[in-house]
Amino acid sequence: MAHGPDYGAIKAEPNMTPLLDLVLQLLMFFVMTVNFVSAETRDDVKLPVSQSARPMDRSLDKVLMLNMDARGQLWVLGRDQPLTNPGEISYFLRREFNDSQLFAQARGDKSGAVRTAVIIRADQDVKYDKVYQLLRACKEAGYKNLQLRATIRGGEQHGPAS
Amino acid sequence: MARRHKAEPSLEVELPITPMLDMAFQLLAFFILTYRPSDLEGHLDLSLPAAGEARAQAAAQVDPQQLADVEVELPAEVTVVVRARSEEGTRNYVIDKIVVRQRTGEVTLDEGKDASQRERHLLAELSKHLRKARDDLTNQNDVTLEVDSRLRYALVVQLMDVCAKAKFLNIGFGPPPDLSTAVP
Repeated sequence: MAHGPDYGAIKAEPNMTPLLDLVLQLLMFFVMTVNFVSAETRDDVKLPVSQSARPMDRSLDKVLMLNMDARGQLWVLGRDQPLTNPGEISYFLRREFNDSQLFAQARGDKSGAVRTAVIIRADQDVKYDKVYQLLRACKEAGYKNLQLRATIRGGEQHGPAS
Repeated sequence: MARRHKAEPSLEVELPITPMLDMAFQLLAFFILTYRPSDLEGHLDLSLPAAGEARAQAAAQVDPQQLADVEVELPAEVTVVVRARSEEGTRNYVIDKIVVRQRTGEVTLDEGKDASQRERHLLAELSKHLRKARDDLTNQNDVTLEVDSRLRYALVVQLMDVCAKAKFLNIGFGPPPDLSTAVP
């Protein structure tokens, strides 16, 4: 009786189950931490470091993100070109505020109160003059809730400044 | 004689693990390559800067009963004025001096003797002065910063840190001292 050439050979079959389990665990981690939509924040804006910055408030409903680069140019979502002069910035902010008011009224809020939080991500090397002008423009447009973003020193979470 | 039916052989489903593992590795490689941990961001609360006051054209238009915009917005008893000068040999600006203005008067902070540590020394002096001055204030939460417009924003954030550590919770911004015009 003839036998095949592999007759009697020892076959090693690795157990795939724990390997697959580990791979799926890793996959789950990366799927849950992926962030495809990061268009609102610009990578070329290097935030200043602050020890008293509080962790971000993730419960904010409406947010207007303003990114200011080191040259004082304002980048906003939906625009390929930055806003460069104070007039453009002021016009943009007033228009956004008016749109928010109309939207609030359309939703039934007769007072048209705008609860949008304006988040300013300014580069650490930009002149303070540009930031100050932006803050004033936000106030003149009618926004009341402003936040400045900074990198928390050491990557640690800090509680409210005390 | 009835024939016994042979029991049907039980069906065993064999799941092909190999292509599933292959696909899992592909996805894992994709997410590993696109994963980018970002710096932890926080936010700084602030009070809005005062809008520019309308300058009266004539003395008759001045209403002494109307509070100034600054006072309505932020009745701070302490104002920190930071002036800048250009750094020798560069186009950068550094802190020249820090003046703390209170109702009792103005105090110019000591600059220290070491020119290379001047900025750090000034910030440390400011921290010490604010902590001491806060105890004598009625309003212990509000402070106004008037910072030279030519300084870097990172320095302004450091000043905000100093104020926050001195337990001033509401930090407001006044007009930069190099830009504000004198009242006619």
